[in-house]
Amino acid sequence: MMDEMLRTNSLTLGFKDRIVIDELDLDIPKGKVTILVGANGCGKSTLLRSIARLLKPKSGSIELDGLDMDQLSTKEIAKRLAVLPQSTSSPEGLTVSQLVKQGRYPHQTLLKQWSVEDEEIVNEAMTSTGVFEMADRPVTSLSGGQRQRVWIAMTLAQRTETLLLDEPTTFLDVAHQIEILDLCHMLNEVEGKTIVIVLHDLNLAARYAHHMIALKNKTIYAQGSPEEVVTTEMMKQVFALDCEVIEDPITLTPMTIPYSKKAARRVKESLCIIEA
Amino acid sequence: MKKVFTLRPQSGAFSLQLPIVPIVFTLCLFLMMVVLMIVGLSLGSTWVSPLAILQYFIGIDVGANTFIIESLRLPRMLVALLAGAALGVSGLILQEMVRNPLASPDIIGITGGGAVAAVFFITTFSGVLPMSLLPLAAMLGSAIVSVLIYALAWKQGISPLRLVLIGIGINAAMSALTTLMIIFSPINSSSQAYVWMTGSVYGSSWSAVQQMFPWIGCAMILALLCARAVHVQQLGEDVAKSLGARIQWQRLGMITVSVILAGVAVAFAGGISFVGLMAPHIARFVIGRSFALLVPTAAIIGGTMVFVADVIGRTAFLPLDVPVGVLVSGIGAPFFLYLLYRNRKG
Repeated sequence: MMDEMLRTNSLTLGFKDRIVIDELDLDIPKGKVTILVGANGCGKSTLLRSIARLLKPKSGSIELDGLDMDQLSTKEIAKRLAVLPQSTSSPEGLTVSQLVKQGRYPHQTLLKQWSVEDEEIVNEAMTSTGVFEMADRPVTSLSGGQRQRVWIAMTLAQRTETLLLDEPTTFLDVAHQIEILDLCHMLNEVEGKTIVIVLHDLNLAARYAHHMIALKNKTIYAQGSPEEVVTTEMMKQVFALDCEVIEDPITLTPMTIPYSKKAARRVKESLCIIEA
Repeated sequence: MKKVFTLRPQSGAFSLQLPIVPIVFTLCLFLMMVVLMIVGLSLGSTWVSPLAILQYFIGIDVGANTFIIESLRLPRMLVALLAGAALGVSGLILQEMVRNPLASPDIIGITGGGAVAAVFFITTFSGVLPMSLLPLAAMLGSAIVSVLIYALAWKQGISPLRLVLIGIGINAAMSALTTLMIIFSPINSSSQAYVWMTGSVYGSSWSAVQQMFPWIGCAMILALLCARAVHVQQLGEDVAKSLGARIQWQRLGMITVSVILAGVAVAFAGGISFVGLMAPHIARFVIGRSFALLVPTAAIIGGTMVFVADVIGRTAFLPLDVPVGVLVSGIGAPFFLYLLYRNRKG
């Protein structure tokens, strides 16, 4: 099928004796936003890292555009697939534009270090992420949200069709979480990029994903549209949590409301009042 | 004024970015070095005027001074300069590679390996084999120990932190071994070994310069070619990999260049410490981040430190000739602390 740009074939991942992902066959649709969810330690970041070839599979293979990733050179892959790892740190004193420029690395050679094209693409990447005004400021002086946008700008400068993001909103407040995900949405909508995100917030995942994948027990528990994936049953099985699933009043996507000890007490109290 | 000049001819055959201010700084440092060299050549038990030195360089006959400049002072100064430059760049590459400002060839055991081999050579073969083979022994020692460190640090690739820790361990073992050999050796060869270990360029000849130059020249060019790898690796292992950098090969390349530089320096000037640690830091104070400019700057600063220390060592304590390594650490360390102190206030 031409619609799958990334595909894994009986992919097994792990560390030493521990298997994290077992014989996984996964298709990631082209030109869509795919969001991976699952409990802590279920292997969703591991899976993303291996697709990004930051981790060698124990067995199985990964196909990119119908080509086995093992057959492609690292630079060739870097021209097709960009990755934003979970934790990034930029060296002291590095400016925004210097960092974004590094995104051109796979396209440059020893002799061609800064072509007109490089310059245009870097400026474009900084503009579309809204960091152009900060071009000469050191990255370390920026706020968490700004910093994340700079790193995304760097991956954009790579000019790849696919972008992988590993928990890009982890250290951000809710406004900046929305800002980063809106940016991803825009990149998908306007530039037609295939985007794969590992995300913890299920409600935001349901809002932004075309395709959701829930992982459990070293393999896929459910996948499909947010409506198909986010159900009370899935929440119980994957997260071991009792939930109500209602409709998000703004986007009409599924929204989970978890039960908790405190909530349970409240419900009982209110029931008592009604009975009385 | 624009901060960066872009070199990009119409044909598009190549393109480079050149930061203007740091380039000017590098050139200033180079000029300063040349001036200090002329002053250094003038100083000594016999004063030779700077004018005579300039005359010598442009080929005017300066009579009896020719012997002093050509045979005594110039080769010694050039060996000091080359050794210092090599150590400065060697330390720079290591620091960038392990992303740790405390790395240097004398801390992670590269110099220590050279010392063991050299001391072994002095204590065992002194009088048996010609001393002209000493540099070869020292270089071999550095190379063998570096391979050992690299092999021990390998764990599905080289992790920089592991490399440093293993290097420190190896270094401790090497210094124990050298001390042991000195204790068991006869007194005359042990004092010779001591002088070698502190680092000395006493009695350096033109043949030393000729042997050092090709190694150091080639390694410097290779160091410049590491610039792209250094910059991409500064973003961290994951990001560098995802940008398509073959980081294990790059690391192997960087270590090799660093070992060649440190090995040659150790071979001809002995165990001069501290330059490899300090010169890159001073270079960064002046230049900032651009690795391609840090290489020449660290070379200029490292070289200047060592030859200036040597000029002081051979003139300030006449008739004694104090080994250059003593002065590098003796003057360098307080100066370095002063720089850090000032940096804290600024």
